[in-house]
Amino acid sequence: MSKLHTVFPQNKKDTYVSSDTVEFKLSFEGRKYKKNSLRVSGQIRVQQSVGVIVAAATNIFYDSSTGIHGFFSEFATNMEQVGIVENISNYPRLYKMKEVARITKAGEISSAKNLCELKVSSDGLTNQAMGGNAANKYTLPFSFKPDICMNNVDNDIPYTKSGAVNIRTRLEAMNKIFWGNGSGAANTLVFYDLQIQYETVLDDGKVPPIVMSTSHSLMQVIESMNSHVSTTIPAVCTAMSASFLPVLEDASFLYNQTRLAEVPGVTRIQFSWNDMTTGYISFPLEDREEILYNYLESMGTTGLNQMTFKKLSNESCYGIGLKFPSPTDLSNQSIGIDISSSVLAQPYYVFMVFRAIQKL
Amino acid sequence: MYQQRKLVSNHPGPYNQDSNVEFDIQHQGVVDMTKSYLNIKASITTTPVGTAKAGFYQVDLSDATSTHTPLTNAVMISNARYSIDSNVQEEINKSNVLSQNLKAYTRNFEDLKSQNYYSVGQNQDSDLDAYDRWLSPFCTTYKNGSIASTEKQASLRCPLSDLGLGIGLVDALDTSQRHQLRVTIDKRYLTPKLHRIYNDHADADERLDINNYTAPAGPDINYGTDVTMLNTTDFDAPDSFRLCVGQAIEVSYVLHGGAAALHEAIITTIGWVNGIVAITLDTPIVVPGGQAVTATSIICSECTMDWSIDDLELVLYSIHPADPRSKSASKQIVFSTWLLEQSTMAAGFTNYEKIFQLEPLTMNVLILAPVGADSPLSRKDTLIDYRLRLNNIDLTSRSILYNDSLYKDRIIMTFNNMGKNYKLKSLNSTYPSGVDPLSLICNPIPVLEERQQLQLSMNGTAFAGKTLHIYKQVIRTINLK
Repeated sequence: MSKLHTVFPQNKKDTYVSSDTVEFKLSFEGRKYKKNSLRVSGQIRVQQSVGVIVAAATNIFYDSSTGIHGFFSEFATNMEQVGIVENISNYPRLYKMKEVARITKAGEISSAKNLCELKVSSDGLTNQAMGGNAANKYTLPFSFKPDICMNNVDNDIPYTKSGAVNIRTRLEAMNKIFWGNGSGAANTLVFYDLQIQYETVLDDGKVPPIVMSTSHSLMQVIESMNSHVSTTIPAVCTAMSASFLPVLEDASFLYNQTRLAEVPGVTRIQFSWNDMTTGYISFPLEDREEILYNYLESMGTTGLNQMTFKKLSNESCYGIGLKFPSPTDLSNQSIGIDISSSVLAQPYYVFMVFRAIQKL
Repeated sequence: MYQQRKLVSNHPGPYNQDSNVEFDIQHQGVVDMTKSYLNIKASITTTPVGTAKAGFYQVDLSDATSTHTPLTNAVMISNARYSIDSNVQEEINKSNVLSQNLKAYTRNFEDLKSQNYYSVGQNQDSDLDAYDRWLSPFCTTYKNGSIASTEKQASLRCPLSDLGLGIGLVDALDTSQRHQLRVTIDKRYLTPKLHRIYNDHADADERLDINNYTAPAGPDINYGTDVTMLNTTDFDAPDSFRLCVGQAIEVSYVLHGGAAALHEAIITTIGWVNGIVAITLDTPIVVPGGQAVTATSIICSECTMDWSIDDLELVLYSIHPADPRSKSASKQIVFSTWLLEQSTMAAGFTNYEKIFQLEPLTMNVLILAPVGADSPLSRKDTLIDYRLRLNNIDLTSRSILYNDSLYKDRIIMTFNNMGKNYKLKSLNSTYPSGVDPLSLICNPIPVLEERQQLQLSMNGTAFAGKTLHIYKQVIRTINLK
């Protein structure tokens, strides 16, 4: 029989604000962590300015596909017996990439589990969600399952294997959450009652093989029409994906920070790493359709996605990627991406995400 | 663990109607045919009409009937043949009639949306999201800044299984012998379309209204170049705004209370400042100092179009030799394929009877009746009911009324027997709404080693003249060396 645990932050406060770091310790001695059962809950209150609630007519928006996930910028998971398992920066972008590649917008809003993650049908309605209601003092309760290794594991984890689990998260800066001409430094965002809930079961003494899917993210800049980015990753990786954002839009209240912008005029993308002698793809990707198809494959395609032309025309669902032919150790070899574009009027950030497998 | 390989055809494009295109598949190792696909490269050429400028035109390729019927890329292939060492293993005739009708019952709205980025036939049955009808893989659009949008060649993905090929469902096929795929081009069911109206907002003439402008006293003002045109309609985001940078447009305006005039131009920049859209043109409307420009509105310019299939590629997913699946490729492959029998039906019949021969090992029968030469989809026409008899024994105790529960029951039974998922949305037969609904006469058949006879009786008020397509799904076996 499973047992529900609630954990409060180690640095417990009445309120938390943007850029605060919050740390949780999960201790479940004599029990097993029930796979994929971790949730973060709390309440937020967003105000246009101190004492002024967000009105429906005010253009303050957050990304409707990321919902509350977009309010948490980083997640790091550390297990006493294992060490650092996962350290994700730019978490909202990673989540957006996954969401856009794996579910339709209609599917997103027709599922009740997304309601408590504060996802709504369009960005233009998020201001109405933020207004909250008077009965609840204009706060919005939320509960979401962060897309971290604790929720991407194939078996229950015995305490003897992991020890205490530390989860550290950082609350996102306001200029990376809100956008629209009503947003700005005057906005206020306060978090209340932050907590983690997770389930455990009695430890039956069995220690099955445990495989976690982890994510590693990093960011680089491309500045020319023929760009090469390369990196090493301390993990055995199964796929690599990347999305883009113009540098001038970074940390600006004018732009959605999780916009998956399209690099203009891409004519060729080629991936390379030392083990490419087998030629996984024996040809460069030159068509947008092929680039997007391989991106969806890299994100773990479900057959459903949000790659509509409406979104593409708004430059909000583009990405590149490659699912590796076999798990590849990138700790001692670098992976490179050549991006050729016919037009590149401004530098772009490249947000790279590597999916890896970690055996406990 | 795969290796993707791209094979070129034996016949370079562009291809005409009924062109045969062949691919030699040999020594590609063990191939996962379920992931392999045809890459159809198609493009639309535009020619401005009258004084319209050569800029970007928002075009797509959609159903020739203009009924917003969703089609798939497989509609461009009419016949598909797969041979091994010159022995034909399967040949699907009118594969597009089969594939489009099967897809109509196996895709729902979410599937359509998700296949949006690589598909023709974007005119989907969706009143909720009409703007998607405007967009297509033939355009790269930019709506903010100064990078010009362009028309482009589209790579249209067509999985082999979409052609009805049973071999397309084999997940490990040894290609050490000489395999050949031959497909026949069919361009009849698609036509290029230009989207020029601006009907997202309640403009009476479906144009985008622009704010009035009065030039300050003094010299002439270049309105549209030195002074941007502004529209204050509240667009939440660029995705609800339809004009693109580089687009050829027709500006309608009235100068100082005179007669309405037209100005053809290209949009050079679009800017977004606090919800106000600012548009700059390549050539201005010259406004004398102190005069006013009123009733300004924009519509996309007009062009004529042609389209072509420029090239075909076959992308194979070879299983890496280190993958255990490459050793598990069977020498005997059992699969199902489709045989076609056609029967012409003159116009005016109120009842129709015909006996068809079913080949040994037939497992399902579909009877499709496309009406007209420009759509592959089987429509209801005036069908009231039908009845099937197998070897002179009724398959149902009563006639099957169109769209009755028994009618749907037969469809569900047959799709289950095919191993396909049907989607409930399409079972209500309106596809899209407002058009003659779909029809599908079908039944599973007990698999026997000998020939069987199937008798069809249909009642209607007065059928249109058409050709019945009787598709028989049969079990086949290939023995590889």
